[in-house]
Amino acid sequence: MSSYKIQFPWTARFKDGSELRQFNIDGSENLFKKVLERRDLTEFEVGPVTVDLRDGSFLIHGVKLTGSCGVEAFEEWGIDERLPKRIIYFRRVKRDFDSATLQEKKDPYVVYAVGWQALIPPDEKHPNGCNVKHIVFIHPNGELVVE
Amino acid sequence: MVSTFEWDEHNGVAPGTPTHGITNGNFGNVDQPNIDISVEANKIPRGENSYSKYISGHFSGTYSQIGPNGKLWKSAGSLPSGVTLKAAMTNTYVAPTKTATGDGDIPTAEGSALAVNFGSSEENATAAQTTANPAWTPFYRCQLQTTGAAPTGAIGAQTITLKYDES
Repeated sequence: MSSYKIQFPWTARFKDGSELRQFNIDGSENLFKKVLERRDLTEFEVGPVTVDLRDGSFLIHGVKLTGSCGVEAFEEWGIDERLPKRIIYFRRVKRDFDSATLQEKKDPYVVYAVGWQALIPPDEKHPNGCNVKHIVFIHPNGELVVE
Repeated sequence: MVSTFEWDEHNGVAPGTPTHGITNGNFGNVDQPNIDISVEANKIPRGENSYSKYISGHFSGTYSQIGPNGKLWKSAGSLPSGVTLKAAMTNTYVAPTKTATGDGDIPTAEGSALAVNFGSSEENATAAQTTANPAWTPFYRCQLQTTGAAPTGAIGAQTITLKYDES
């Protein structure tokens, strides 16, 4: 059996100021579905990236990026910041196996993805409504890719 | 703590006998897991096919969801002339034989990779993602096919890549 270590544990913060961490002090783990079961998530932090579900902004290495900023892929979100947003979090796992031994040739390559998704109701700019999604991918070497 | 992963293989008459955590994926002239290719009777005669293999990815451990975006392809390694590796993902197990499976060549680029679903068993792995624990991929059915031009010996190192999302 093979596994991998979590490089960037998550921390969820809620409206009432409480926090839920992926790992408790005793080392036990909270599954991400516990976050999804809550309806009052405000912030979700993964490594150097924190997404704020209230205004859709990303705090990356201490720099806040919003829909109105000029950074590539962040400009022209053009959505109402009050729209409800759904948290996106997953790990994209890539495993390379030797076909003969079926043993892994190296540690899995794990990219962490964090962001949000929202549905824009029909309006003048979007007559049929629109699905908006923004994700930041965090690579093992710390490289960030915005989608 | 995340999911743990191992390869399983089914052999014999349907529904097949599963072997968990197989330690090699060698092709051979026999329907069994963990084939020892140093055994003469297990070697594939030139011009013939190997027995088809039914291998599946098996997830357990700690996770909320496995998938979506499951993909499988051969990402490295060159096959010698006269040798082709056929592959497909299927939810249906049939007893392995040496008859050509009819599957296409295994994709060699992520862009054309085989789509991998997930579910509570190989037969039920029909959705892009699952919350079942344990969980499986469908059967990765593969077969080595040779012509009379195939060289003697092992086919050389090949890399099979499995990629998926997990949370």
